[in-house]
Amino acid sequence: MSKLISRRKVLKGGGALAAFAGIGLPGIARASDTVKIGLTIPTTGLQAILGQTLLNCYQLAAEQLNAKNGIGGRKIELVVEDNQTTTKGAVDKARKLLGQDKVDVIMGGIISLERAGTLSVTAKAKKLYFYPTFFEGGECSRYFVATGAIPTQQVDPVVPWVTSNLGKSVYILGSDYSWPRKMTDAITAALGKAGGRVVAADFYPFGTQDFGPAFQRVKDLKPDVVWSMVVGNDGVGQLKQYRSFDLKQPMVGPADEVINMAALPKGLAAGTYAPQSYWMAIDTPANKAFIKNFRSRFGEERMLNSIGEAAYNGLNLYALAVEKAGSVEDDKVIAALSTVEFDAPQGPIRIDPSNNCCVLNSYVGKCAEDGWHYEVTKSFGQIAPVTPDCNLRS
Amino acid sequence: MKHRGRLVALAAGTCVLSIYPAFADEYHLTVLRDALLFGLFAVSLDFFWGSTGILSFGHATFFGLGGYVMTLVTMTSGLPAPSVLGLFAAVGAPAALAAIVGYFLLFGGVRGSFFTIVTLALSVIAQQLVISWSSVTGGDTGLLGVPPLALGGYEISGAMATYIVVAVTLIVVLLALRALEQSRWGKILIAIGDNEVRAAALGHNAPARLTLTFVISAAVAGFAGGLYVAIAGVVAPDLIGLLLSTEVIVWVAIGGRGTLLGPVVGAVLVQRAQQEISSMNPSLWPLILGCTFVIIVFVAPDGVMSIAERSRMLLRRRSA
Repeated sequence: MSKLISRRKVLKGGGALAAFAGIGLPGIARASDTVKIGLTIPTTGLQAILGQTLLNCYQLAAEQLNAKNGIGGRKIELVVEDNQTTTKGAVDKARKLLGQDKVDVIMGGIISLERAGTLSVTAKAKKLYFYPTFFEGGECSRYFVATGAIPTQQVDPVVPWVTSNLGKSVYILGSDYSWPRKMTDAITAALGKAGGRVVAADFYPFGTQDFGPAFQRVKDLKPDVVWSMVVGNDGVGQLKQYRSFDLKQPMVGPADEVINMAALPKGLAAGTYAPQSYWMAIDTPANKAFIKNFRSRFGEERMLNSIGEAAYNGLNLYALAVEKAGSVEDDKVIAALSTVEFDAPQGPIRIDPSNNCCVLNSYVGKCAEDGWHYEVTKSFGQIAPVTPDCNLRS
Repeated sequence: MKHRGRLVALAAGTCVLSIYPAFADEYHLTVLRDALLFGLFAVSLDFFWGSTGILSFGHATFFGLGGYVMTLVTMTSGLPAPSVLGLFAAVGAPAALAAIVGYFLLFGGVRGSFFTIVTLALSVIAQQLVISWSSVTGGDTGLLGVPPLALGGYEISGAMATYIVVAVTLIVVLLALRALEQSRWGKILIAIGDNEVRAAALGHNAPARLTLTFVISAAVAGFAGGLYVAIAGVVAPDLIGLLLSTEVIVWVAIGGRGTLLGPVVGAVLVQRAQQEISSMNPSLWPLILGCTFVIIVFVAPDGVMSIAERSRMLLRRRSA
């Protein structure tokens, strides 16, 4: 503690000295007057493919804001950390961002363990944490903001569409961790309401290479639809075997254009469906500008996905809230957060104050013949995040 | 001369640890505290590897097992003195596992690289187990919100309090293991390491000695793991897996095998470097760190602790 105070004193003293001498004051004033945003990104480990796009979307948002007026005249400074796609990495880096860098807010993270690790630190410290990835829901913390879809947005509107367009009986397979399991609960409940049913659900540990038993079950049980939540490299092998079994059932699964482009051979995913809150094919001026700016900055071949877009939205929503609050103090920002709206690439979005989740759009995409691009098959419009178990207003 | 040098180094280290809180802010204190806990873990590996010459490639199994057991015990409500019970279990469970594994391997005559490979498999199995058994272990995410240490109604949770607990524990364990190493016990271990057949011919029960050393080593590793999860408040599969098993070998190798104090220095230095380098370059840091390790192994094959001794010898040679 003593070190910190002395450093600040030195800085203040230095500033006073500079003011007295009449030199270099603007530079110093600007340096101490930034908004520091800590990013926890999986740049190594399991989610490194998605991590790069995530990071680039934050960089794009920060650069665009800085090119205008920053946040209320204050420049954005990004502090990037690699959480290694591990719980311990996420905990250590969140502590470092808060303890050493004294960031005003933390953003980022892809899979559940990154979120849980980061949140365990930020919730205790009562600092804001913006999480961009669609997830299983269930977090209820005043200082936790989700800009990605939760099951009421990614599952509930999609399931009735599945039962009336693809079929009523669904076979589910997924990687064995909390997200696919909790999503399966949500899908089962939604199917019950829509008059469909889950014929079976199987979960495979990370590193599974043989999905033959699963697809043999599909041949025996003859469901109308296969809903897959197998992630990472396992997902690639799974899709190849799905093709080699020559199954006629349509496949639904939350893939996206970044994963497909990075990991799948041409044409493999053609014809599969995916529920997401964002697609590159969404025809809005904001989306066209978003894709154009992203590609001119990071490469013409690069793809975008809902995680990256939600990250971009999160930083922009935060900037609007800080400007409105006139402060980076967490409580003031939270109060202002639900009063701002951002014209996102997917359409206008805002934060629901009852659970700090995002009111956002829901789409079903269908993978084109090349296996990489998606077309928007169905738009459900804006969907509110409904969480019966969480009410932050009370 | 050499032994007195190490005692001086230990005394100097104790001084540094006791002065450090006056200069560090809360965050840096917690960073050093965590590094010291992993240092304690490195010491446990060094106690076995350094004195017997047999490398265990699955030592994180014991550290992680201690962590998970501590978590499960302290998170069970209604137990009297959960922290104490938890720490006993965190020492006992890895010790029991090491006794079983050690019995089958060491009494079965498994030595050298075969022992290394089997223990490596042990670490992989342990990691798969905690990931798959998600109803108990929290799966991939692990368990968050492990209760802090509590003794007689007092909670030890502040940065300073936990730092003191860790530093004192580390010094006590170091002194105890050092005393053990310098006793008749340690001498016999060295004899076994040099030539097991000859040591057995002199009447020493080599497999029993080795197994007991392995058990002590695992117990210390489990103790470090139990302390770590209670202080960090989180237990996850990365604390039991192959990566940590590898990292701890690097810490011991960088610090200096067979020195006990060296591994602590190695663990602190390497983790500090990892934090700094990964902040400077979040995507290329594993490459930079790996190259640094290779250079260190070339420059100081006996670890960084040996640099002082080597330069002293160099000076002596010059003056002679």
